[in-house]
Amino acid sequence: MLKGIVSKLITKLLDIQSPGSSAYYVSWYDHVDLVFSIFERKDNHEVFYVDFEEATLSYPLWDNRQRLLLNREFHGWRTELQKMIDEIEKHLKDVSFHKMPGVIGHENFAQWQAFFIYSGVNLLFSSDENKDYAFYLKFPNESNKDIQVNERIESTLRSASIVPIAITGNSEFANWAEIRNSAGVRCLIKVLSRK
Amino acid sequence: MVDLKKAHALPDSKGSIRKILFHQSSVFQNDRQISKGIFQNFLKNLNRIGMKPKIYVFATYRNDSERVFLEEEANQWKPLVQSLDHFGTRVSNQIWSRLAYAQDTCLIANSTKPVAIMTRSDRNKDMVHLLSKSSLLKRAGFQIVEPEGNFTLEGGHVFASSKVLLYSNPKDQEILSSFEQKPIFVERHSK
Repeated sequence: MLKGIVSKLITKLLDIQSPGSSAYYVSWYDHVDLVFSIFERKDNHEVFYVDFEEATLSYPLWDNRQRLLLNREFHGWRTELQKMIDEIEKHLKDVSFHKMPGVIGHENFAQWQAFFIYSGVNLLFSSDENKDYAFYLKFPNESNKDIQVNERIESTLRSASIVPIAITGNSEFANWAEIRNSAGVRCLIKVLSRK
Repeated sequence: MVDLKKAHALPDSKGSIRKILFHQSSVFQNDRQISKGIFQNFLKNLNRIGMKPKIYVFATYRNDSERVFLEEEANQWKPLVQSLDHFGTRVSNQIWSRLAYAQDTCLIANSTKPVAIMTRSDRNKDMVHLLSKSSLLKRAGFQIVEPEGNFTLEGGHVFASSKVLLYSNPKDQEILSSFEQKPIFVERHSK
């Protein structure tokens, strides 16, 4: 299992909800989820960071004790994120930060449940002469209308003058399948060019 | 309507998508093999904004029925791409279930010498092994780099259209210093 701030958060959330459950769920969490996505322009950097705080969709039944623990965990998450944001700000000039929604939860199928993570910064950028684009995997079946993950991703991108393009599968199942396996669009972004 | 020929005659735009390598694998719903459409829709959208990349597909299958399905699925992408290089390999059920879509092996490139940094997980270890046995990487002009340290954390990602590298493990500074990207080393906060 990989150790990163997302996996740490997931472990804590699962164990607050159901003590010991992270041992089962997180054991297969062996991929990396994005916390930051950076788009570089000639004169500035648009930095997108994910926030899971508003969208623990599958945990509607938190009791008071759990809510207190949850708040403590998110306080820790914010502190770590802030350190990273400060670091980025120190190294890059002219940076604009944008908060993007993320979701940690369970997906319910007829006979089984699957744990998933959806990060709104799983973006793939592309540019032509006139425009900048960002591809993102459309979050399926938005059961919580207050959160509106897709709409928030789109409006945040637009505010940074980036055209959002949602990628979907042939069905909601296909989108879930991609998300369970760590987001189809994000999978396309790991590249470096050598000097 | 974008004229693709004209679009490709343009000098390289920073961050424009030219070449993609990805892992194709079967998906089942109610015991029926289904076409995901994610990648096809992605390519259609790229076409819409004037980009027609070369694609390199690494397919893994367990039996002939899966092989045929994946080949047929890939054939549907042909009109959407500049070229399609499809390479399939048979794997055991055990390996297959570990690979899933092997998301971290997917590469997309807008440069002439792209290199992927692989996460050191069992899943990727299997994928690196499979990929290195094929000649697809060479044909695509890709290299895989495995850092010394445990290449973890969300900050380890690199973006094709950004020259910024976030990275969490200072042990790998040497590898990273050979890249063009601006590295930002974010110290890991927990052990």
